[in-house]
Amino acid sequence: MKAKVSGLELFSVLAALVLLIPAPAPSPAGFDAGAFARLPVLDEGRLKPVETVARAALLELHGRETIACSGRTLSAVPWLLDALARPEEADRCPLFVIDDPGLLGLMGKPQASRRYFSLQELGPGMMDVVANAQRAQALEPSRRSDFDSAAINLVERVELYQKLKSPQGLAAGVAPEDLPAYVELLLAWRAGDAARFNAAAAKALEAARARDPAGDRRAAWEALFDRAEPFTRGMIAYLAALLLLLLSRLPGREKLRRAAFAAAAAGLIVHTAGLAARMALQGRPPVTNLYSSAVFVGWTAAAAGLWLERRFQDGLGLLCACVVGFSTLIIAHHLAAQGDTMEMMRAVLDSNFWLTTHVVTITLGYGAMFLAAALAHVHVARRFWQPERPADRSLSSMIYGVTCLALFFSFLGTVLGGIWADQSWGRFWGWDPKENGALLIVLWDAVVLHARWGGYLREDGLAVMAVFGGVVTSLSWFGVNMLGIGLHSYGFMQQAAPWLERFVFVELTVMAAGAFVSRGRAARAG
Amino acid sequence: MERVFRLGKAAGSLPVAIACMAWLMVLVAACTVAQVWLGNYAAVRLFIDSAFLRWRGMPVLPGGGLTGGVLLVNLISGQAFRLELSRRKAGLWLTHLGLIVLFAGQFVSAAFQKEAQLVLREGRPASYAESLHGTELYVLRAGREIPQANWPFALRVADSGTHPEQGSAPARPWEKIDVVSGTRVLAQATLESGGPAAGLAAEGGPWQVGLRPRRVRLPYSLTLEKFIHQTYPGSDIPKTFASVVSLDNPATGERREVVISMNGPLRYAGRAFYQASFDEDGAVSILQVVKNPGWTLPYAACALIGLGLLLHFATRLRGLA
Repeated sequence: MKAKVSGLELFSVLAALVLLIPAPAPSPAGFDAGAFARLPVLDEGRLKPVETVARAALLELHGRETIACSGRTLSAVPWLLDALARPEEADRCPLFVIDDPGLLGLMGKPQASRRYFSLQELGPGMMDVVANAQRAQALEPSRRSDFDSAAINLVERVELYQKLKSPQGLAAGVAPEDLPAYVELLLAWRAGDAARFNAAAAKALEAARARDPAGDRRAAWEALFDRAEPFTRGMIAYLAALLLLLLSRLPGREKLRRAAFAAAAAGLIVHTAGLAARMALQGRPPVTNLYSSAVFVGWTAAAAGLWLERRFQDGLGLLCACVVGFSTLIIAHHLAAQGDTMEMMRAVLDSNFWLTTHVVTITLGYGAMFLAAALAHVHVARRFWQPERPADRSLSSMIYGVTCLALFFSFLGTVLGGIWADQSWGRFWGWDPKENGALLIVLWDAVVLHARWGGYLREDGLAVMAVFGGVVTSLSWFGVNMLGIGLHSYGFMQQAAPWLERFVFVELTVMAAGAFVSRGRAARAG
Repeated sequence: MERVFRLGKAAGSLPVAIACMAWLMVLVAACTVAQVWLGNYAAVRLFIDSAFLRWRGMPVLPGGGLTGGVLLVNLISGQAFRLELSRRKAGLWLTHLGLIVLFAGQFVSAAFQKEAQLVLREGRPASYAESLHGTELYVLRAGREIPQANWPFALRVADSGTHPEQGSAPARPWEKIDVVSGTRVLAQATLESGGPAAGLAAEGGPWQVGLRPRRVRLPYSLTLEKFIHQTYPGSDIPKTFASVVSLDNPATGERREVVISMNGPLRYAGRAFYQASFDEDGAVSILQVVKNPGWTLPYAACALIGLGLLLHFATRLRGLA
C-alpha cells in the first residue's frame, strides 16, 4: 500500500513548523540583546543562558514573561538588563502583583484599582508587610491565613528581586574571567551605547565558546528553545482547534472539523517537539518535576485523543484531546512560575532508569485518567441535553478502553514506585501521601472495571464513575502536595488550592447531573 | 461439598471485592489526610494496620487489616471458585496471582522485616547495627562491657514505657529496673534508651547499668573510609550522597571496598545497606540496614501483574476495536 499524504496532513506539518520558529531575539535600538541572552551563566547548579534566567525570574516575580513599563512592553532580557544596569528605572516598573485585599489595605492602596506595583511604590509600607511576614513565618503553614501567605509571598518576591540585582544574583554565576566584559556590557547598556554593548557581548560570547564549547552550544540551543515557547504555542493551537471544532457544529460548516483536526495535530507536533527538545537539553526522561508532569499528562491525553479521533472520526476524541491538552499546558504555565523548569535532580531522584520506568508510567496513567474523564463529560452532557437519544456505544467503549489503559499504567507505575522506594530507602511501601494517591487511582479503576465486568454499571454509570476518576487523579496529582506534609513549593500551591476545590466541586456537580439523568431514564423506561 | 462450593463462590463474589476496594479507598484517603495531624506512623496504625476502627474502645467499622484480609480471601476464593480456567481469562489469572504474591510480600515484610541503623564513624570498624524499636540492657565495669553470662546480679524490668517524640527528637523508650540478687532487691533505677548509665556499688562494684537500642551483631565489619557529599556547582542542591566503605569478613576472608550511595544499596549476606543520612560534616555516615526475606516478591508481583494486565487488555481491547 502506498502511503498518501493528504493536504490536511501537509497543512498540519507546515503549521507546526511555522509555530516552531523561535521569536526573534530582542534588539532594542540596535543593542544586540540576543547575544547577551545566550551567554551561559551558572545558576542553581546548572549552566544556562541568560535568556532562561531572565524569563524564569520575570515569571516568578511578575507572573508573566513580559512587563509593561512606562508605556513600553519589555521582554525578559531587556528588563533584566535594566534591573542590573539601570536599577532606578527598573524599580519604577510595576513588577509585583498584589491580589490580597488585606495586603493592599495594609499598604494603603485602594482595592481593585490596580494589581501591579513597582518597588518604589511599595515604599515604606513594606515595613508592615515584613513584620507580618515574620509573624506568619513562625506559624505552621496550615495555620496561616490568606493574608499571611500573601505577606510572606510578597516579601520573598521582593527579596528575590533585590538578590537578582545584587552581586549575589546573576553576577555570581558569571565566570570570574568574564566579569570585566560583563561589567562593560552593563555600563554600555546604562550609557545607551549600542556599539560598545555589542562589542562587549561578542567578546564575552567568544570567551565562553573558547572555554567550554559544549556548554556554549547547549546554552545557545536552550535560548532558542526559550524563544520558541513550544508549549505556549501548542496551547494556542489546541485552543484554535477547539474553536474550529465548535464552529463546525454550525449548519453548513461541517468541513471545519477537518481543519480543527489539522490544527490540533499541529499543536501535538509542536508539543512533541518541545518535549523532545527538553529531553535532549536536559539529558533526562520527559518527566522530572511537577511542571514537566503537567506537560506530559497533556501530551499523553492529546496523543491518545487524536488517535481515537482518527479511529472513530466523530469529533469526540478531538474535543477531549484539545480540552485536556489546553488545560494541562495552562497548568504547566503556572507551575513554571516556581522557578527553573529544568532544575538539577536531587540525589534521591537522580536515576534516569527509575524516572523513565516509574515516573513516566505513572504520568501516562494520569493522562489516561483525564482523557477518560473528559470523554465521560461528553457522555453526561449528551444525556443531559439529548435525553431521548440512545446511548452512544462507541463513546462508552472509548471510556472503557481508556480506563483499562489507565489501570494498566497506574498499577504498573505504582508497583514500580514501590520497587524504587525499596531500592533507595529499603521499604516497598510506607503509606506516604504520594504513594496513597497513586493507590487511590488504582483502587478506583479496579472498582470501576470490576463493577462493569459484573454488569452493575451501564453506559451512564461508567461515565459518572469516570468523571470521579478525574477527581481522584487531580487530588493525588496536586491535592496531596497541598496537605502541607512533604511540601516545599507552597507559592503556587497556595494559589492552586482554591482552583482545585472549584474543579472538584464542578466535577461533583457533573456527577450528580449524570446520575440524575440516568435515573430519569431508568424511571421512564420502567 | 455443594455447600463449600456455594460458600466459596459467595466469598469470592464480585460485590464483595468491589465493596472491599471502595472501603479501602475511604481508609487510604482518611489515612492520608489524618497524617497532617497524627503523622505517618500513628495514622497508618489507626486506619491501615488496625482490624477495626474503634469509638470508645468499641469496634465500629472495619479497619485496613480486616478489609485487606477479606479482600485477600475474596481474591483467592474468586480464583478458585468463580473464574474459569480458560485462555480468555489467562490475563486475569496472572494479574490476580500477581496480586496474591504482592499481598504475600507485604505480609512477609510486616512479619519478618527487621530494620536497624548502622552508624559509621570514619576509620572505625563497626560490626553491629542498632535496632530502631527494641532495646537491651547492658552492664559495664571500668568502662568495659560485661557479657550477660558474667553478671553478678539479675536485672528485672519492673515497668517500661516510651517518652513520646517531641518535634524532631525521636521517641525514647524507658525502663524501670530492679537489680536483683536471689530474692533481694539491691537497687532500683530508671533508665532511658541511649541515656546515661546508672552507677551501682553493690556486689563488688562499681558497676554501671544502662539501656540502649538493641544491637544486631553482624559477623563482619564495615569501616567508613570516606563520605562523599557533592552539591551541584554554585548551589546547595545535593548531587550525590555516598559512603565509601571497606567490608571485612573474617569468616570468608573477604576484604573489599564498596560504595553505598542513594539509589545504590549494598546487598550482602541477606541484608541490604542503604545510605540514609550523615552527620558531623561527613565524619559520620548513617546506613539503614534492612533484612527482609520477602524483598524479591514485589518484583515477581510486578512482572506478573504487568504481563497479566497487558494480556487481558490486549485481548479485550482488540475485541472492542
